[in-house]
Amino acid sequence: MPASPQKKNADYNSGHFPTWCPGCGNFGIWTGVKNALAELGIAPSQVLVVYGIGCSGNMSSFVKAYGFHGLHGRALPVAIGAKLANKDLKVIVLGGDGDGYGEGGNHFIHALRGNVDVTYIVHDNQVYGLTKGQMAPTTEHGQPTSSTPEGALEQALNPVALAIAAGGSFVAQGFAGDVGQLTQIIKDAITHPGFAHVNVLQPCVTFNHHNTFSWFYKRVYKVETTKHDFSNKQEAFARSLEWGEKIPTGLLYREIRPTWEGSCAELAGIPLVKRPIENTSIAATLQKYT
Amino acid sequence: MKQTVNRFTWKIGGAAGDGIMVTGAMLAKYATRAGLWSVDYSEYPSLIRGGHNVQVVQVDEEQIFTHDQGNEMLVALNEETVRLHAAELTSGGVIIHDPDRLVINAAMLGDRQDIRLVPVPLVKLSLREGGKDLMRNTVALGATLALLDAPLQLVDDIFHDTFIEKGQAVVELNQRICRAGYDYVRDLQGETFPWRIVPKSNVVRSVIDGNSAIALGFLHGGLKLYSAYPMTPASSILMTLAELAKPFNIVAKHAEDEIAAVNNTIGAWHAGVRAACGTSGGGFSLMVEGLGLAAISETPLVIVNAMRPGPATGLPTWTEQGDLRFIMHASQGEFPRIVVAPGDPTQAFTEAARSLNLAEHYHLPVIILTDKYLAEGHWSTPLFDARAVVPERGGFAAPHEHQGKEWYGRYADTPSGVTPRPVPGQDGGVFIANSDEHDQYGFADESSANRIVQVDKRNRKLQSAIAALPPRVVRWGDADADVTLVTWGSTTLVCREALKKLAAMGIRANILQILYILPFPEADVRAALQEAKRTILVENNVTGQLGSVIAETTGLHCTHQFLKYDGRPFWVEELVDFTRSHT
Repeated sequence: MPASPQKKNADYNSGHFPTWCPGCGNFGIWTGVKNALAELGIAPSQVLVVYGIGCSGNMSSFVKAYGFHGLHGRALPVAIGAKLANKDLKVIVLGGDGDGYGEGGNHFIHALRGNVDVTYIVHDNQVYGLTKGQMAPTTEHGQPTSSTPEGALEQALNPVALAIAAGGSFVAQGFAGDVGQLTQIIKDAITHPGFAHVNVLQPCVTFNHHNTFSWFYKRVYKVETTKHDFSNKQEAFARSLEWGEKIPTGLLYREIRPTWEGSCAELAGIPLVKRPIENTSIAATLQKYT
Repeated sequence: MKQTVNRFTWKIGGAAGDGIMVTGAMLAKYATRAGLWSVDYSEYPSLIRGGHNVQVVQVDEEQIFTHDQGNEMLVALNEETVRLHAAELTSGGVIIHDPDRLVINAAMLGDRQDIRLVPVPLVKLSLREGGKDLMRNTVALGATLALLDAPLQLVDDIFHDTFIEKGQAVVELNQRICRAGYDYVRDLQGETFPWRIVPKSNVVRSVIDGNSAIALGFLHGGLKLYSAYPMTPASSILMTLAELAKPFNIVAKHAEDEIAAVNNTIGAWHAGVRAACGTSGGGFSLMVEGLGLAAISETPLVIVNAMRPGPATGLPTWTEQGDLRFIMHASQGEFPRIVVAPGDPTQAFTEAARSLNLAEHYHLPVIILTDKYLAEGHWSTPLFDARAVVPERGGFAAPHEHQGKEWYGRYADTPSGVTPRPVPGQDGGVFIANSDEHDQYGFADESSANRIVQVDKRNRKLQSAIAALPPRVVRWGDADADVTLVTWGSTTLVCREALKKLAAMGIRANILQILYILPFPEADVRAALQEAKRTILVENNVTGQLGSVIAETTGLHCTHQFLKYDGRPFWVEELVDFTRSHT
């Protein structure tokens, strides 16, 4: 990658101002993503951002970068296909909790196992925003929502615990109310060689009146201020299970292990996208059918 | 005794897990190397072990397209095979069986006196030569060749070419075991078998199935990534490409589900490589939303749908052409797509290679529609002509169109509807590929004026693509005929076989094969139907789906329709009978 001139946050503004509700946690994530790209010096044309469908996915219109705004729940497999096609490309995925943990849950589990070098940032507001306040996979048990007026009957899914259990090589939790820490987490996620999962606690000011900014401010703490050892899987898993009085943010778990594309012998050398399509000879293979 | 040379049908039956498919493949290869033509077809239930499996290999001096009902040789590995298939044997035919494992009595033969039993201790001979129980099939192959008075050298060569990568010892073991069966039958005192093989020319032909033809077509066409989730009868495309991934330096990815497979494929195309995915109807159902995504984001996409009888799990290992309408209309919304239905391995190869050019140049989804019969059957086939389709890049934005911009109008309106695209990572203006309706840069835009521009632009691409298509109908047989068989996909094969038999009866027939279902070749079909004296629609489905498409596009109806929907391909005899009685 050629050295890029100094970048700043505003270089990634699309010119369309976000349509999110005033005070939405998505503003913090938007800022964190742009800050991280600027500080890492990744030009808009050097990155592909793949978006899911939801309030989070609407960020596709607010970020200047190559973008792919796909289907609800299906951002990860598009991103993985693109990364395998061009392993030199930076690929970032932005989606919501309903998008990634509900509709696309299967892809999430298998992306964690596969360890393709893609950064996955989930806007976790514990509710469906764009469709007006229905239950999300991360809605707390007993919380009333527009689709569960008597309270959610299911247990809430714990994304970071799931990510560690399923084999994630980089699992972090951010808070939309702390852009400084979030920017650092996203930078670390982007530079991590492998699949990086960042669950971002993102208060929804319109539909979630329980998990509010002030609710989180009283509970979140930074694991980097403790003696947390993010290389210890047992410790990371115990930490990931914390919810309620104390909620951890920061890098929970990291291991360096081979990526999918690094382990695939056919991907050694130049990226697929740079390989010629002409003059592939099938003659020798056809001989085996004779 | 009258001898029939180079024309016979051989069948092997046993339980799943008996490895019968390999033996049939060897015989088909033998016949093909002997300069003859073969076709093979297998029937198996959706089980790993047990159940009843059969494979049929038919051999002819002339090119053949499908097998017929009679057969002359039956290798019975279990009692069920005898009970189910003895009645199909031609008078004078043989049953090869292992007397240590299977005792055949008159009742099992339905009291037929005109069948000859050839007991061969298949397992004992295999073990004697140092083989395993399962290699009894190789003994049976040797016995078959001895009855046919066929030279052993050819099969020795096949064992060599097939197993040399596993070492000389494996080659020699197979050769020895095969020879044991051959010698055993040679030494039997008995009447001469009325059928025999006399090798003919040295023309080199392949023995190939539709799925391998598609895999090779993709490789020739520049495929770099194939993503799929296994589903019969499409799975062997994935397995073939996985095996060829290393020599061709491509990626074959086993995805977590079909939704991932189609979205992986879309992501790969978006990033600039040629890619494809493949499945059967159930998996295609899961891919449908992705099909729409490719359409609205104008991302090229190639999907293979190898049909099996549905709905739902249906008959997993059988054949049908029930998905035509589904494939034509799948997805919400309206958008153009290309649907091609190859009718033999050669067309499968050519159209698979072409699909990558078409998708890339016109930013359209292309669906290759096959079925179990074509996907998994094998035909002696002239070596594919790589010159039939030349892989050429197209549809990309050149650096001078793209550099120096902040945003690139990747969806700007153009006369052809095709807007050159940059790939992410390319230095220059960025854009958003958007599943929402969007403006020229990809920003969500719900205005009336923009919607009309974008819908029209997308639809215009199909008109542009038509110029790049080969003839969308294929005519087989003489132009002047008493009856025209109207068909598509793999049923073209049985129609081609029927032409030969009808000609021998003095009935002049020809075929209208509709190769490109979409864009539908309306003018060609109308002209062909108007010229025809009478027409018979031949489809492997219950509602005559092609017939209804013809009627709605041309206003014309076929005179008769012959439909079959029991999961089995047509027998050529039944098509010939139907045609005779309706001509």
